[in-house]
Amino acid sequence: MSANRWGIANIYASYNNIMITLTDITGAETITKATGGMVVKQAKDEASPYAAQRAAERVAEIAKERELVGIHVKVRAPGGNKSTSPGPGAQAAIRALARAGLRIGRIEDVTPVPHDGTKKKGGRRGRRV
Amino acid sequence: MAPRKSKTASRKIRDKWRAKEWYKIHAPRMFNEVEIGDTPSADPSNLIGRTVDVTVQELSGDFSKSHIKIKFKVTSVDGHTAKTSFVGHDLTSEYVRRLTRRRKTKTDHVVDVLTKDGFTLRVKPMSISETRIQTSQEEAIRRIMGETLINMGKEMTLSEIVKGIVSGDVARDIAKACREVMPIRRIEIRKTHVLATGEGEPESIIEPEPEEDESEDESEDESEDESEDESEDEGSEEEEEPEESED
Repeated sequence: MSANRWGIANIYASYNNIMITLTDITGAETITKATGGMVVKQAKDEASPYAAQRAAERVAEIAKERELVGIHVKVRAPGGNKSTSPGPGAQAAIRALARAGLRIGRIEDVTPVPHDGTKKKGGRRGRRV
Repeated sequence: MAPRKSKTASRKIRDKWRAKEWYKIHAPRMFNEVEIGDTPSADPSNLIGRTVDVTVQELSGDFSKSHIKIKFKVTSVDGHTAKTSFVGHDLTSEYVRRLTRRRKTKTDHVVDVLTKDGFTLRVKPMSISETRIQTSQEEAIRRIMGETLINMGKEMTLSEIVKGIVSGDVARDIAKACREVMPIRRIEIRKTHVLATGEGEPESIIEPEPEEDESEDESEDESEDESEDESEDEGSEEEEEPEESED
């Protein structure tokens, strides 16, 4: 009965956090999810590759329990009028999923890209630190 | 504190999980009812309306078509198998991004095509020109793209059009028609979407045996795209050759 079951790991990697949501191939049923904040104590570490690795390990554990053979990966950054490049955790998360023994299918970038939208925050002179 | 909490939470989830059964999703008759995958659900009625993305590579085993994604929607459930219908296709964003370059004009268009068997299909073609072109030329290209697609719709059924889109024949015909305006580097059907369904179920697209010449052409094209600007002149000549031989 436990045939060739696949899932989708939806990875949202920003510069502040990482969220991994494991769903079935339709995306309608969530199997499990993990975030950077669930695995590290310090808020500043939530987006770190280490947090991503730990979160991915958690997800992979449940994926194996649910008898998934492999996963497709959909990576996304904040997008819209925010950053379009995925944060530092994305790479680490995919690697950790592969290391955990899950087969990786296609990897796709699903960052939302506006066909033109609103002005990016920060004002005319940019963010002044 | 924390571990105890997570344990109770996981138990609750597992109970819910146990209530769920797996249903097999099958492609519509258009794609020979290939098995796409499984989806869990507690209630079969929840399945209806779920959509699945599948690449053509997975459906037909053709490696040169891994950038085309086809979308299916579950329409009915029979026992443990879910039947789907075709709702559209899409190119991967990486593929489109690789085609768009500086100093080349990308012309997009949206056409609603009414097919012979009554389906309304929204087709989004895209052309990449050899050089930067004028707005009037872009408009002419859009006009030709629209006309050719609507004429195709009058003669072809949905499955014929989808087959043409997947194999690249539709794009080739449009490119041939557009050549009188400007030399076009590439035409792709970027996206389609079924707006209204017509009569009957679309015929099967028997495609698992793709013609070998075609797939070779495709791979050549792609390698040319990745190479630098210098080789582009050669590339365009090579692209033209197979089309002429067909004539």
